[in-house]
Amino acid sequence: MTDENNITNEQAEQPGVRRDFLKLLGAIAGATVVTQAAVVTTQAGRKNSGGGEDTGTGPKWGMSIDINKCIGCSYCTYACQAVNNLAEDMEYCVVTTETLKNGAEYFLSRPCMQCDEAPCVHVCMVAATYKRDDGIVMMDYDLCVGCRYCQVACPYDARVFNWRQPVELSPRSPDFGLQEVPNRPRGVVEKCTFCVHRIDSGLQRGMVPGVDALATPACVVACPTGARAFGNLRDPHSPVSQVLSESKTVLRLRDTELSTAPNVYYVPPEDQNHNPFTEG
Amino acid sequence: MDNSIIIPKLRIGRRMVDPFPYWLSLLGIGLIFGMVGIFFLFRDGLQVTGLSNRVPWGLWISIDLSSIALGGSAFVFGAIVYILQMKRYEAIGKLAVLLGFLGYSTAGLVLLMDLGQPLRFWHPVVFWQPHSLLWEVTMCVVLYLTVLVIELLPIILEAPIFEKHPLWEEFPFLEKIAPIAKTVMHYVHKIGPILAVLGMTLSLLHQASLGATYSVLYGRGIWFNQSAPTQFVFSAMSGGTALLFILGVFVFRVMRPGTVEDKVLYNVARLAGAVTLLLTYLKLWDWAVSNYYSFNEQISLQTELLNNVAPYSLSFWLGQALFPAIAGIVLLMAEKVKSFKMLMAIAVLPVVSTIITRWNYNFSGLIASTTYDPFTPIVRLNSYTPTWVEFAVGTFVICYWWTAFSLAARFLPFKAHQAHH
Amino acid sequence: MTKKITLTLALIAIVAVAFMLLPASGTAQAAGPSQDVEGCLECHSTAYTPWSQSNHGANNITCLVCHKLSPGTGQHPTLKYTVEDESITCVVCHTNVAGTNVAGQVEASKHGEVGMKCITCHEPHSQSSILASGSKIVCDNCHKNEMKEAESSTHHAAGLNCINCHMGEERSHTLKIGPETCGGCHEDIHAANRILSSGAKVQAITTPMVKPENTASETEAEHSEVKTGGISLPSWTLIFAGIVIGAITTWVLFGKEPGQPKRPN
Repeated sequence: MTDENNITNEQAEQPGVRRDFLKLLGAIAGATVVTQAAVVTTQAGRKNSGGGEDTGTGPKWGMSIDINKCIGCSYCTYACQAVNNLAEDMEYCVVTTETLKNGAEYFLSRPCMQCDEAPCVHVCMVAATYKRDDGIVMMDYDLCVGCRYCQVACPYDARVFNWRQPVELSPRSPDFGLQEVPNRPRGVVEKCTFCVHRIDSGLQRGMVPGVDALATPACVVACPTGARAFGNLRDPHSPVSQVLSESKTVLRLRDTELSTAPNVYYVPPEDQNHNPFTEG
Repeated sequence: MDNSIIIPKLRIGRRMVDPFPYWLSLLGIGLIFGMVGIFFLFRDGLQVTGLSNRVPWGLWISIDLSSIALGGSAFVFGAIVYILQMKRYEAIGKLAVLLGFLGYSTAGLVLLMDLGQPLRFWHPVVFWQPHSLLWEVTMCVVLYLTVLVIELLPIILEAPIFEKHPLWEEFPFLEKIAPIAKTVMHYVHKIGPILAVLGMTLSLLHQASLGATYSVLYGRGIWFNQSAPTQFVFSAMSGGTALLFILGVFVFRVMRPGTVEDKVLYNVARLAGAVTLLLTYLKLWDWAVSNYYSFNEQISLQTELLNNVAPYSLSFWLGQALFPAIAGIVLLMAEKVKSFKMLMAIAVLPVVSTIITRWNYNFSGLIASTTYDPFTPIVRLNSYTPTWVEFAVGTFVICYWWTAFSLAARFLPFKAHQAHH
Repeated sequence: MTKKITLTLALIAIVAVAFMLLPASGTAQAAGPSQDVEGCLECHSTAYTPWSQSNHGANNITCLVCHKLSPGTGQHPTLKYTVEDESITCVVCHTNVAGTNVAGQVEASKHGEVGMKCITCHEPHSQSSILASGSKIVCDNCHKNEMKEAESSTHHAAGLNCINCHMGEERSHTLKIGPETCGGCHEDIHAANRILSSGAKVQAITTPMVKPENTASETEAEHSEVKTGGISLPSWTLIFAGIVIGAITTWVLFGKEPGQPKRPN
């Protein structure tokens, strides 16, 4: 409004220059339309990218973590660090102390959620991180440029950047296990892989991941209280499916809010006043 | 048309001193300091920065966003000169192209430093992931930088060294290059409109997707903002045009009097003012939509936390609402104000406002980030302290910008009309 | 003539290949699994030192006792994990080592109930207990709260550890405490009937002798950490910004108009 008043009030000394300005305003209007179109397209693209229906036939690996059983000992973190040869301050799997609505404290152990609609996969600009058919979100460390957009995008802080050269031997080795995968170079983003090397080599040898310890992620094997269960979510007899069918409620972190469809399920604490999952 | 350039002089005592060598050596010191930082950065990797897994993007990304925004005048004036065919703006359009090139090359330089694997900077060009907004941004930067280089070529090639020049006797090869330069200029001028359309498309796409880079991160509360792409485009137009006005007065009115009419400069200021007002209007609506007409627990928690540690809301109301509003009104009345001194000082406000916008937008979602606790969703405050290496690299790219700009302002003619037109 | 040369060359080639093959097959046999420990040590050096200092090492429980060769072929396994399930690897011996059924004890314990394994507490190569960072003893890895309480107890002040009561001198893995556990030391309690008579003394015992770490200050520290986030810029950036603002203001107030208006003719 101000713009036009200003122009009409103005004494038009040079009609050419005045017309210039009107043209400029027209250009701005055009730019607005173009931009808004671009925004709408972007947003629509994001909505359409969602899949959702589980139509696969192969195995789909998942994990369940029983918050009631977790005692916060961090064995999962340590085993993971030993197997992946991580420095002390690099943790794929993090155990934190959180509070319920009633003030009670509990331990929340968080591996990578291996989301079906993984934000990190959508945002990676070189497709260095991708989704396997069995549900595991993998990293190609030879492609990663280290821009850290996936770290910014991950709603669970599950991604760890390799700020330094990899350590020669993890401080958790050999107490919690020995190195099983090659080191990653400095300057790439790393993540939990559900110990995909164990799963793959175990399947080759006819083992059942989730049942046979050697084909199961190190964190699940290391858990002293059996809070974690692992297995094929499409197999009703797998340990994880049994845990999920036995528990009254299960929840997935931030799934109702963000629809990331994680493959890690939590059995919530029994004594809680408020459960966002049951409320919908 | 005389090519003579008036060198601004400083009066020290009774003597008039050309500050140019001193200014260049000051920039040189900055560049050397920056190179020391770059040496440590490339030797030790990103551990020398203050970045962490919680705050993976820091000072450099803010510089990158700001420099791209301040190069935003290039597409605006590319469109004005070549699409709207307003030849009056040709000279100032050339300066805009230079600013665009400087902004984008600065951004590219600082992004290269920010990569964990700098040697893999070419990966996005080869390994496509079109779903990723950052891929789009990278491709647009690469393509638009190419367009800008082509657009910049005639501006460099019209330098007096490519016409009859005393240096020809010392370096005879220059005489051979001169006709090639003429041919290149001719063809670039012919494809000018195509370049302008291409540049405008790429730049609009890219400025918008820079905003979308953040706003698609729906897990981050404050960043998930529908109007961020639009805001990014308009703040780039506002800040870029305001910067173009400031530097345009310096380059044309002070150093090349007679090249550009005052009326044209006033119009540039008025354009900056109009876009700034429009942007302020958009921003106020955006604030109302995300804070008044809707309530999001996360966003209000994040805002509260940010206010605890920084003047976050204050910087919005002062730096992004009040100052641009004042600046917009004053710049819009440029012909009434008539004082170029005042207009230049006022035009600093949209520039600063653009930088504040980018800074706030980058850090708001990182400093106050959301957690994943399913029962008591809280917002966590992260801390970030830039180290000297980050400041050194920042100094390096800013000094690069000023060095390149100073050399261009001193030696390039920025002619108003093409010779063969 | 050419035929002869070709033949000689072919012969030389055959002999050379044969010589190259011979030592190769020789080393392959030497590095075979028949040589336990030394053969393994050529490649797998990480586990050797802890093993050699362990009980297993002292009693000549060599690599191949636990790490099985490929079934059927008896060759070095091509796959990585060669240890069978714990129920075979550890339990097969530890049902009767020096007369104790450790496996049975573990099974009867609370640890066994929740499915804990041998390697939850024991590093398999050294058999020593695993210590997480910050832990003083293996129990501390998980039982952090109990450990904190125990550290402020009279027992701890007297130099006793978890295992003194929970495992006893025979190092029982049931970890259970019975009446005899206390009686082992406090023989005279019932005889003197002091439990009833000296309530004040019991009060003194339950009062911690070592002051426990103040939990309130800890949470306060965490809280303050939450509050002190944000971006901390060095002070010179503010000074620099001040100088720039000052310079612009000075120029606006006292500077002269930039450039001279001159119209092109």
